[in-house]
Amino acid sequence: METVLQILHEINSDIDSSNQDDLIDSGLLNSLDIMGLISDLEDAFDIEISMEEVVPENFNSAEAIYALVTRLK
Amino acid sequence: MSYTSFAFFLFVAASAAAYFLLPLKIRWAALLCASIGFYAAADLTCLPVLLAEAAVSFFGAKLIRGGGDLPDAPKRRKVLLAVLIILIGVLAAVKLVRYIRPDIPLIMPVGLSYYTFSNIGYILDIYWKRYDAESNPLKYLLFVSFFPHILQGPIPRFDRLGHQLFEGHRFEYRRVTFGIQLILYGLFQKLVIADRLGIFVDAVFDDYQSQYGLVMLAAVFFYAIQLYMDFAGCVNIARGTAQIFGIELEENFRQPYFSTSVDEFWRRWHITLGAFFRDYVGMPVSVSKRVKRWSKSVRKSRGKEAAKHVSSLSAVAVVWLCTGLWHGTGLNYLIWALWQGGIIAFSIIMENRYKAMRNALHIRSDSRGFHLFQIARTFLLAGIIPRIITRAPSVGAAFVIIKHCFANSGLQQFHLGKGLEQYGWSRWHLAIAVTAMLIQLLISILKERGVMIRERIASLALPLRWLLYLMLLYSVVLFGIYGPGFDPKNFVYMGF
Repeated sequence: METVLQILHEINSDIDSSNQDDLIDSGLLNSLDIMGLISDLEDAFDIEISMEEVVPENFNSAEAIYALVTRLK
Repeated sequence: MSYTSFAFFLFVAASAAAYFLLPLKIRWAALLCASIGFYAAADLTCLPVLLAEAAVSFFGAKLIRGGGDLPDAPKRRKVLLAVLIILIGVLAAVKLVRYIRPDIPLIMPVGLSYYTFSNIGYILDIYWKRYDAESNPLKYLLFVSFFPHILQGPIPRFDRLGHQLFEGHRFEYRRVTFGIQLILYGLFQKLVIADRLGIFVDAVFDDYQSQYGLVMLAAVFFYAIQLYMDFAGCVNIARGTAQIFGIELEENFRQPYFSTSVDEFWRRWHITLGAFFRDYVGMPVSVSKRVKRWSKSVRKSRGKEAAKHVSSLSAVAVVWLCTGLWHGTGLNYLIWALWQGGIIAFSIIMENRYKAMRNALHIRSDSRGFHLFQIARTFLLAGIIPRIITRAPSVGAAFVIIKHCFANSGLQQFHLGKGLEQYGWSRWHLAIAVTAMLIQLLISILKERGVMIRERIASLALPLRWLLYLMLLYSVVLFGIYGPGFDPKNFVYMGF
């Protein structure tokens, strides 16, 4: 979980990622941020994120991202 | 049947009467009949194209989804590819033939782009298992052909619109009045602002070789406003019409000229088109195996930051190539796409350097002055310069127009004893245009500050509320631009 929060902080340090559950729905992360996020997650956790997984529910919060990573590992 | 014609509003009234008279469960059938009737009236010869594309997508989705268990991956991929080739092939063929052989009398089916995109989004969502395929072909046909959005969008998503179309909605006074308000507002934007500015803009651009300075600058500025009001007006009429039936279409504009970057501008202008290219083109490109492989090799040789740029820049390049090709096949649109995509790519690469530069110069990024500077810069880069390129008759002409803007004052045109009449305008036109644009600016500022204008109006006392409605109605009737036979100009984006 720490690594996910660290990656989110690097993408946008203005967002309090640990307390947000609408990172995508509220537009806090834009499409370019999401592309960077996917690239970072794949490298950090050695996983492959496919288009089936690229839905807002999987990226709206740090917890959701962590759950996605855990599922794909 | 144009959205601004009297016949359209009679058609909406008749459709609404039929919709609310039918039992709740089958109200969607009234919408389907109205939609097919609307399309047939607009473009009877092209109705088979609409029906065939809907059939290809519907049955393609069924094959991809399978009856029970999912079919194996290669079969699903083959079906997807076949459907995409057909859908994109028809759109590309029509656009290419129109460009290469304009002498061939090929009819561009009305709304072809919009229903093609609806079909593509649906088939890809089914392929990516985002939701289940629709089982009723007639309901699917309604999703694709729903008459308020078929001419100019917004581009719908099946998971957001489908259930709204299929469940019956009861008559609700507040919702219907909100819908009518939105239609009137759309008419105000289109007829009072866009079409009025269009007279002046056409006159100046048609004679650009003799126009200079302030006149040219005014035409360039007015064209940016005209295009926005024309398109936003049409979408507001479409959204208002859908609201009467209890259906919420997606927002397509969010005060785009208040954007602080070109990237943000494209998230506020034609929102559903940008979202379509982002979700169905850019994102698949950035997570594709090829780009990932490339990104990994760049990471090894150039580091993490450069590797991240590979996925985002690949997506930007493909998205802007597609966006440019969609808007037009001429050189103007290629340069237009290169300009927009190039600025976005450049800002991605330079992001960290910009931050360092701002810090070095002690510029506070949250200061009011810097915010206004960003808005003005974005308006110039996304709202003005690219519009000159696409509005000018050729790329060469675009450069002439830019040069003429700063050649001299341009006021010598008025010294010859000719006034605004030489541009088809009068002082009266100018006064109405300026007043209407100021009203639009005020509305935009209020919306930008989060003021719920329609809710505020709804909370006013009845006499005051109706006074406002009547003022809006009279302003459209009295100050709208109507051509011969009260036939307003077609919407600019209808040509796409």
